[in-house]
Amino acid sequence: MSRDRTARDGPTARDLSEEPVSRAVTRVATAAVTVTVTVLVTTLLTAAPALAEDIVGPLEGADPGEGLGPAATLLLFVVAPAAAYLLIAAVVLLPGAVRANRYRPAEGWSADPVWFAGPVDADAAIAHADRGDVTRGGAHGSW
Amino acid sequence: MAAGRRATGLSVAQQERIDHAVAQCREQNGLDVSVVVGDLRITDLSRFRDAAETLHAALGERAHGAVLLLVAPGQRRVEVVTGPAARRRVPDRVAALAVLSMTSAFAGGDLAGGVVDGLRQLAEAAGKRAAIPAPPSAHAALVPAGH
Repeated sequence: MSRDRTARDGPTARDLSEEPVSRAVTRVATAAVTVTVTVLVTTLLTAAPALAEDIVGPLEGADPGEGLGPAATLLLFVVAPAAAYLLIAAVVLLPGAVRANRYRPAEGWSADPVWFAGPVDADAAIAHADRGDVTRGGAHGSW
Repeated sequence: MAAGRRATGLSVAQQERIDHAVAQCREQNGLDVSVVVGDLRITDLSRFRDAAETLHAALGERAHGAVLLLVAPGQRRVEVVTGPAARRRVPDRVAALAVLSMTSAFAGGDLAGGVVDGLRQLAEAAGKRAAIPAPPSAHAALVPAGH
């Protein structure tokens, strides 16, 4: 086991000692190739559209097509923005409008009283209410 | 009122919520609760408790075991009145706690939510009992300003 490692270490150590020159050469060569290829490819790619005019036909904008009619213009530049404006306004204002009816302690209360699960004829029941001689419990509060 | 936009009362949805909460108290807790939302036609607020007890007595035979919850949004008063039998199930201490949570909801503008929460607290304290049938007037009835 240990001999194997020694055998393997041997050449590696020798390689390292011989490496500096050949590795530096390889690194420079790699860099040179990379730069050359990059420059060539970039140049060709950016120049290609100019050269390719004959192949792909007229450039963008050379054939503008038909203009917008008046109706389409109105639709696109007036109706669509107005619709977007109204939609956003509705989304913003509607929740507040729905809640406008909510109770505000400072504004008082004008509605008639409502009795849930009360007597059938509340007026008569109140008129004939007999409090009797009982002690009632409960609690009260204000806000 | 200069603003011209006044609170006009409970919305239908709010009334339904309160109706539902009242019905639940009866069905799940066997607790006879009755809720009045509206101002009392009294100017002397020191008589508020007195007037609330009269409304409670107006429940007639039910009064003994009934809980009346009176909410006066304009007068900013809330009153819980318990009959002698109901008081054993809903002690004054529990009623006071329910009132406390209701007043904070009312001060924030949430009438129906406060009522529903308050009823839930009263019902939880009362515990579970056999359901009692719906009262003769199960749904919200408009009454002229009480007392």
